[in-house]
Amino acid sequence: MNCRETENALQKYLDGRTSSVSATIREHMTDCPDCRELYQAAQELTSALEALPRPQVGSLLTQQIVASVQKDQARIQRTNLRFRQSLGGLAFAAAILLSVLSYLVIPQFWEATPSKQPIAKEKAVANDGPQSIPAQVGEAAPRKPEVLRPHKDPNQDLSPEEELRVKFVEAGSAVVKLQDKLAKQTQEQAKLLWKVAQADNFPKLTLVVKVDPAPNAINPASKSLQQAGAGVTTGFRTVTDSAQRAVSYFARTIPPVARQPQTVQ
Amino acid sequence: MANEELLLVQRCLNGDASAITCLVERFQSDVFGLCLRLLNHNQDAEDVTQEVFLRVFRSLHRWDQERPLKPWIMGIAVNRCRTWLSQRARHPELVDYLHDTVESRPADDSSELASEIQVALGELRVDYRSVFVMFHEQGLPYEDIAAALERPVGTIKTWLHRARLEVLERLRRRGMIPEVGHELS
Repeated sequence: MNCRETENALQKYLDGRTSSVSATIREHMTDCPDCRELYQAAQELTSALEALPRPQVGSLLTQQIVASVQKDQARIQRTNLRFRQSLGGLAFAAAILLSVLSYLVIPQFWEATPSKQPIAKEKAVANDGPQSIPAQVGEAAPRKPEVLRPHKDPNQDLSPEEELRVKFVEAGSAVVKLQDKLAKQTQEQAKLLWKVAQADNFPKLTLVVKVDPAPNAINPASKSLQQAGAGVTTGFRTVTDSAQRAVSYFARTIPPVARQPQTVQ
Repeated sequence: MANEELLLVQRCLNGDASAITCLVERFQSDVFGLCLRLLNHNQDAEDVTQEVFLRVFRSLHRWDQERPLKPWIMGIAVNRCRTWLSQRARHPELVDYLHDTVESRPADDSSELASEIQVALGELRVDYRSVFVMFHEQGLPYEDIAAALERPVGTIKTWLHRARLEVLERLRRRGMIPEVGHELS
C-alpha cells in the first residue's frame, strides 16, 4: 500500500462509497504522517460539510422571479405581434413597389421591342375598316377604374381606427388607378402604331391588304394580339390583387384604437 | 418524478402562472445555493438566479424530455455564473462587495471550520467549485453533474478529487485539523 492507493481509498470514503478504510490503509497511515493527516482532514471535512448551513433564499425572491418571468413572456408576445404587423406592412410596401416598378419597366419594354409593330398593324387590318380601327382600339380596352370607397357616409365623423382603414383602402384604390393608367398608355401606343401603319410610305400594309384581304388569314394574328393584351391585363391583375390583399391584411392587423371622447364645442 | 416534471413543464409552456411559481419554488433553492457559492455575493446570487430562471423559461420548449430537468437548469446556472464572474472581473465594484459579500468571519469556534471551507471553495477554479457544490451540498450524482456541465463522468470525478484535495490542503495549512493521534476510526 502506498500514498497513491491511500488517496484513492480516501476519495471513495469521501464519495460515500465506503464508511471506513481497510486494515492495509490503516497500517500505511500509521507509518505515513501525511496520509494520516489527510485522512483526518477528510473526516473533518465530511462532518463540516454536513453541518454547513444551506444558503437561505430571500423571502421575496420567488415573487421577484415569477414577476420578471411573466413580464418577459409578455414582452416576447408583444414582440411577436409587432413582427407580424410589420410583416404585413412589408408585404404592402412590396406590392406597391412592384406595381411602380411594373409601371416604369413595361412601357420601356414595349417601346424597345420592334416586333410589336407588325402585330398592331395586323390587328388593325383584321377589323372592319382602316378608318374605324383607332376607335375600336380605343373601345376594346376601356375599363373604368375600380375605385374602392368605404361604405361610409363622408359627413359622418370617423374614429381614428376607421380613418386609418379608409386611408389604406384609398391607397389600394390608388394602385388600381395606376394599373388603369398603364392600360391607357398601352392603348395610346397601339393607336400610334396604327397611324404609322396607315402612312403612305408604309409598303407592307398595302401589300398585305392587296394580297390577302380575307379576314380569315389575318385572324390568327388578331388572336395573338388579343391574347397578348389579355396576358398583360392578367399580369397586372395579379399585382393589383396582391396589393389589395396586402392592404386588407395590414388593415386587419391594426390594433383597435380606443375612441377619443369628443368634446362638444 | 419524470412524468411530474414533464406535466409541470407542459403547464408552464401553456402559460399557467401557478405552474411557473411551482417550478421556481422547486428549483430556486438549489440554483441560488450554487450561485451563492460560485459568486460569493448575496445580491449577485439573487440577480443571477433571476436571470437563470428567465433563460430557463425562454428555452423551456427546447428542453430534452428524455433527460432530467434539474441538471439542465443547473447547467444554465453554472453558465450564467461564469458569464457574471467574467463581467465582474472586468468591472469590479469594490465598495458594494465590502458590504454584501457572504459572511466569512467565524461567529464562534463551531462555525470557524465552515467559514474556512467557504473561503477554500472561493479559491477553487469555477469548474472545481461547481462540481464540489453540486456533489457535496446538493447531492447530485456524478452522472447528473456530467450532464449539467456537459463533460464526461471521468472528467467530473477528476475535478471533484482535485477540488477535495485543494480544500483539504487549505484546511491543513490553516491549522484546522486537530492534532492527529495514531487512533483511526
